[in-house]
Amino acid sequence: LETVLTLGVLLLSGLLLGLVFTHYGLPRVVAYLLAGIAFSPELLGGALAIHVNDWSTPLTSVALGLIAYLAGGAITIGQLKRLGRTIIFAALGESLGAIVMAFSALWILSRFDSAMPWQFAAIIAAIAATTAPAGTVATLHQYRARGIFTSMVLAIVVLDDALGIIAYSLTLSLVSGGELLSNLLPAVMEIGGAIALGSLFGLMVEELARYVHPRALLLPLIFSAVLLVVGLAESWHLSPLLAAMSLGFVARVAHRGHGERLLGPVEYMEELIFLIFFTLAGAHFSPSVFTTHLHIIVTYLLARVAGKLLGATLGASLGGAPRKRAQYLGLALVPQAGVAMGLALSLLAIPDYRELATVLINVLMASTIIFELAGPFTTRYALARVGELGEKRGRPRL
Amino acid sequence: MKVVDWLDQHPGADVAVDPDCPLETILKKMLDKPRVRDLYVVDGNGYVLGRLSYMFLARQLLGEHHPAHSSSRQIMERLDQGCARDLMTTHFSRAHPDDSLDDTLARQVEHGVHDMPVVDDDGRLVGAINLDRALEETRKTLAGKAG
Repeated sequence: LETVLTLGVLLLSGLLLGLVFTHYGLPRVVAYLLAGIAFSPELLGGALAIHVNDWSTPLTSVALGLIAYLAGGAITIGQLKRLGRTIIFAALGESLGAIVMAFSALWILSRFDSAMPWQFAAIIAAIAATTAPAGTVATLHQYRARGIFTSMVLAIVVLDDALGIIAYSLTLSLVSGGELLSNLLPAVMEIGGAIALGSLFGLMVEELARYVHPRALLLPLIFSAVLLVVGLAESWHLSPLLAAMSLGFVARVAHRGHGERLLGPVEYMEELIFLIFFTLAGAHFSPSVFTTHLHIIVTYLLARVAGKLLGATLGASLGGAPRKRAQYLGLALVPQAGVAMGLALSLLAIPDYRELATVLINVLMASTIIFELAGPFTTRYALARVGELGEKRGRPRL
Repeated sequence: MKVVDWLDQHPGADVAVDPDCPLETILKKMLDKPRVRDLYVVDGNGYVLGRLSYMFLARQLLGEHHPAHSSSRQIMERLDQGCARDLMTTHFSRAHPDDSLDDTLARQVEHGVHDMPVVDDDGRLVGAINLDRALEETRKTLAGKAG
């Protein structure tokens, strides 16, 4: 099929299946993924000659740039200060816990599996930090959860995406080509340059937005700025994700007040971006890759959960949270979806990692389905244990 | 009629709040009589820094009833519920005392601004045009014609 037609078929199938899943209170991203899987080469994709190849790379790049822009603008310095020590420590703890645990487990695995270099273990471990807010927020709403623990969970899931993108970008800069130590200076340049580029554009966007009165023109302004920043970062071998994140962060800080004008227009696109990510990812499904890398999938799933639990407990305890809250925090941070999949898809753009990207996408498909389905139960259990489980109501109409 | 003449006849309610004003005080001021739907954050020198709109605050406080449509930014803003300077928008319409009242009212209706700030040449707040008052005057005129 033609590229545009392929994309139309994928998106419409994902959307329709998503509506069915929503009706039954199931996570939409799983529906998007299943729709994509249906059109993978070894299923309907082969018969219909659907190929998700090179054309998807720039699309993913732009979409991920927009997500990074939103992650950067999601929080201000003032909000970070007011969140307090406990939440910052807990967020750092559960993110680093997942990264360290996943890396350790996969690194050990790489010693026995010549097809899996340690760099791959590092990249996949960095992605382990991300959490999906949508599923967690829906569960908190469903059980009318209120209290300090609930607020902690909400703040941490917001911080997680930014932490995950930073961890992924840093890891990619450090492990790309050559020895780790010889990469250090280029990595610093890559990261520093990206932050400087994004910050400069952030100031420019904020200034320009003052003269843009019709709301309809804000999206074109931000969209073109993200395209330009991501494009320049790619051309100059800087981190495009950190550049886009810095753009969002600086534009929001410079704007002062709430971020509705500068972030609202792109937020409307978030669902479309996730629809693109998951249907594209599903189309990369390969039963053979899946079965031959089952050991990686199982190791990743277990190590990530263990890392989240241990890291959240340790981080929250160090931050001064009561034992019970610290102990159950990790259980509410299990879901993983959108940003993780976007990061995995972006790996397809790097020729050295193309093959590994397919493995990573298949690993994350399994983790998305399992974590998204199990997430509501683990979150509910954690809420019950800390005494913040309210009266159950129907699932929100998503 | 000029805006300044209208303000002389209808001084209106105080729409200014301090940048550090907490959310609860903002809401109280917004819901007290006489009714105002927009407040303006004003610094110590009287300069207008930003606008606090009724609908934004309503979304902020009642939006948790639509969690699935909440972005990360909205979740964080809801959790934080900072002071006036965190909740304001720095992009807002304003009128000058010498502007035409009809043009100003037309802009208010077009942009959905219940209380339009009137700022002098230096950018200091001198008052606000309240749509309720304008409608009340229109009602009186209609009643006079009918009588």
